[in-house]
Amino acid sequence: MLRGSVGAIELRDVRRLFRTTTGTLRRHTKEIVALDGLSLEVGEGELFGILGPNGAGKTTTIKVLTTLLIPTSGTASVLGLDVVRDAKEVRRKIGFVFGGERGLYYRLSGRDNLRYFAELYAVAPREINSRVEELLELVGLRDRGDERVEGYSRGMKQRLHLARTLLHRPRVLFLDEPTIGLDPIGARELRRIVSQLHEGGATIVLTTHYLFEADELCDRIAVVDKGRVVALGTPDDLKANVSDLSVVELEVFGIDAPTIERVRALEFVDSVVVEQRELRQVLRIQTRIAERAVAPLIAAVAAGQVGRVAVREATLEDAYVRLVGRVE
Amino acid sequence: MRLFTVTAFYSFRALFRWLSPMPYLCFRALFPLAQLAFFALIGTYGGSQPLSFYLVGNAIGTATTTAFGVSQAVAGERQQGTLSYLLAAPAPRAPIFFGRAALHVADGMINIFVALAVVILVFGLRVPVEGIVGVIASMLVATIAICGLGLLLGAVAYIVLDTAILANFAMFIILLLSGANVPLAELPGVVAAIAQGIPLTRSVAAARLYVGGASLDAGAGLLLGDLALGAVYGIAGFVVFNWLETRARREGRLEGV
Amino acid sequence: MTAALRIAARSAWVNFQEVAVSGFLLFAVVWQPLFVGVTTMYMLRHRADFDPMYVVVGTALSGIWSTLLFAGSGAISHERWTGTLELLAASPASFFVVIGGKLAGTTIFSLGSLVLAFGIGAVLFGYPVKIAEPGLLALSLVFAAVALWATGVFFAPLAILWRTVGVFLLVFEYPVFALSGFLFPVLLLPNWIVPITNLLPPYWAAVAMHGAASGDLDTPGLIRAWFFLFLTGGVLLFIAHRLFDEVLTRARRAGTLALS
Repeated sequence: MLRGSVGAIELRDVRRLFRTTTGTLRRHTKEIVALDGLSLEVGEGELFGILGPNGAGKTTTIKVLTTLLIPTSGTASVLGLDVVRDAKEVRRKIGFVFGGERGLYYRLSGRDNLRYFAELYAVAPREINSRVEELLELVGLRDRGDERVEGYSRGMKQRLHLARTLLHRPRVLFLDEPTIGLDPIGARELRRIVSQLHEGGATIVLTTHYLFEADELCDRIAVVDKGRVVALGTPDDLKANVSDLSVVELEVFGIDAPTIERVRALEFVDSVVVEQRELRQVLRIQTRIAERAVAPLIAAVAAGQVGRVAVREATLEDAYVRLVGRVE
Repeated sequence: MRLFTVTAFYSFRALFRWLSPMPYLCFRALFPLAQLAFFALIGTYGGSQPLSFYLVGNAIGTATTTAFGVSQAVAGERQQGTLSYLLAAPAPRAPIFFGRAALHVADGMINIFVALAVVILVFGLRVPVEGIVGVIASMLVATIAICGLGLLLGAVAYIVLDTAILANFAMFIILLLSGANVPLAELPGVVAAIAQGIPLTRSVAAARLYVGGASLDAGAGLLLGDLALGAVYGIAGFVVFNWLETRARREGRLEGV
Repeated sequence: MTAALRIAARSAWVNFQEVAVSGFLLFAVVWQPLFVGVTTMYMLRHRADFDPMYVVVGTALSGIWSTLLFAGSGAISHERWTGTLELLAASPASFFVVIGGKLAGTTIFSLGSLVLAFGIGAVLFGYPVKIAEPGLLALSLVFAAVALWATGVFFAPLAILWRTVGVFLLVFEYPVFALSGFLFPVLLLPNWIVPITNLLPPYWAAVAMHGAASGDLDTPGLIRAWFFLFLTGGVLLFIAHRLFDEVLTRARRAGTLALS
């Protein structure tokens, strides 16, 4: 159910192609389809998640909506403004964060970075200083504001990014993998701030690789793969897709590819995901027959190699695996 | 020998994968020709030497741009982060190091041929038939000597960290002191002595002799001298490279010195 | 308008902090003019009417031009490398104003070339370097800096389109020295080129500065040179403004604002 009835963000049949050329004298052009007729709507005040594997088109979608990329075809609008025709107006109303260490002036202090971006975003001159202080306080960087950004930890840089994006009080926020590369405490801190902003009424679009994060924060989620939306709904809606499934987790030692294929081929097995953990592997096997699958699975693997065994309900991650076939 | 050839080929291919034809044309042809024309025109305005003096000097002087390519080929390993892998390989160092420069010699020759064609066809420089072989020999020697310097610059760039600025700096020193634009006799004593230790000084002098109609023998000594100088620079570059590698290994800093 | 000036000033300050210590700037403001100045001094000093101030002025202009030609694209490449290019492009601020501001900061820095050029003439070569009209030369220098700044702004958008623009820009370094008459009169160029030189702001910058330094240009002549300097500079700025918009739209279409 949409939190707001009005579409804050709309994408209709958006296609985005990239052309790359290879070769020196004889140049070959290759076309990459990053978005392949993607459509979705985000209501005002929603916290909307976009999930998908690498190369699915998450970042491309964000870049289209933040006016950095022009769609090859289709339309996209933010707050009723077309992202191509009304780009300047859109920019005044949105803020965005791309995950990672880049995007700040390293030789400037945190405060000076914010002051500069405040000018770029036309924050009223008499308001700049107070607004900068307010945001440094919000993100917990007030005491470190005069230090050069080059000395900041990754988490601090991400928090400064968030502060930067809020300078001009945007109505819509785009957060592209904001917790990537952060330690658990830093990530939790950032999620707390995002939650706070959401409670304050901001419309937020979040892309993430962390399924538990999407589950925890988002009102609705779109799963994107190969440039298209493959599933859309609340976290519970998506989990309902796998309500018939259970997951058997087998911890194994030194399993080989043919054995994994044998397990995959079993008729009661929906999918198998293998996670490598140092010297052991964890097989996550989705199946409809729950505990009854354990014995035949152990037999298929070869009993001597199996360590811990667990059976659990399917989570959002399992729903995701069912949709895109893999975890990355 | 195979390692030398293979290294040369891949070094050159890496160069061309980065540059499509247009940037190559700009850097290797248009820029040197613009510089040549500029100094030729100043020379004309100054009037202290005949035009041919500046045309020959600057045509040979276009060889200096080869130093960029060679130094970058050496220093580029560190910038791309492939240095560790290269040094951990069991292959001997020398063919790899000197192989870097090999195809740049051919590249540099194209450069000078174009410059020579321009000064003859556009500026009307007259080269006597008996001097052509000598002029071509001067071009080849100049290019080889510059490649030797380029190898040293590439190795030194591991300390200095910026090949472009280093190579530019070297280009300036050479153009100023090699006699390309300023007769050596006009330079202060100490500076003129330094000029003898710079590649191109002898090649420029030899080329001027050949354009004046001298026999091949007349400039042979000069050309051998520049060749030897290029070899000295190249070997020095190899020594510096090895020393830096050992030092970096000892201090655990292979990707930066 | 005040907002634009604030953004420009702030951009100049940010650029100064980020790239002021760069080797490139030192190279363009000091080493290159040193080479050009010393070489040219040797080459021209045998002329009967030799005036060392001619070489000083020409060397200074060449230093300012070399700096500005590469500073614009350098600023944009630096922004791309730090990941801030996309942030700038997606902000409401005009890219033209931001880059113009950054270049303005660099222009002030590049005036150091004049000091260096003076040092070459007076100290290195020991010539008595006389300025016929110091006040008018100072004014001409300010206007010349504006003219060269405008020309630098005109070239800057190319760096948004092409990541390897530096190599293309090399081609414009010496030709501008030549076409603008920095170190030899443009009359030495082929006849068909001479009218083109009048369209270039650096040409009028050189006319004004050489004229004021030597006293060969009277005040009406100087005013005329300043007028054309601002006229041609203004035209380039107008084109640059449109070019930035066009280039940014193309970059958004092609997806080339990011590092990769």
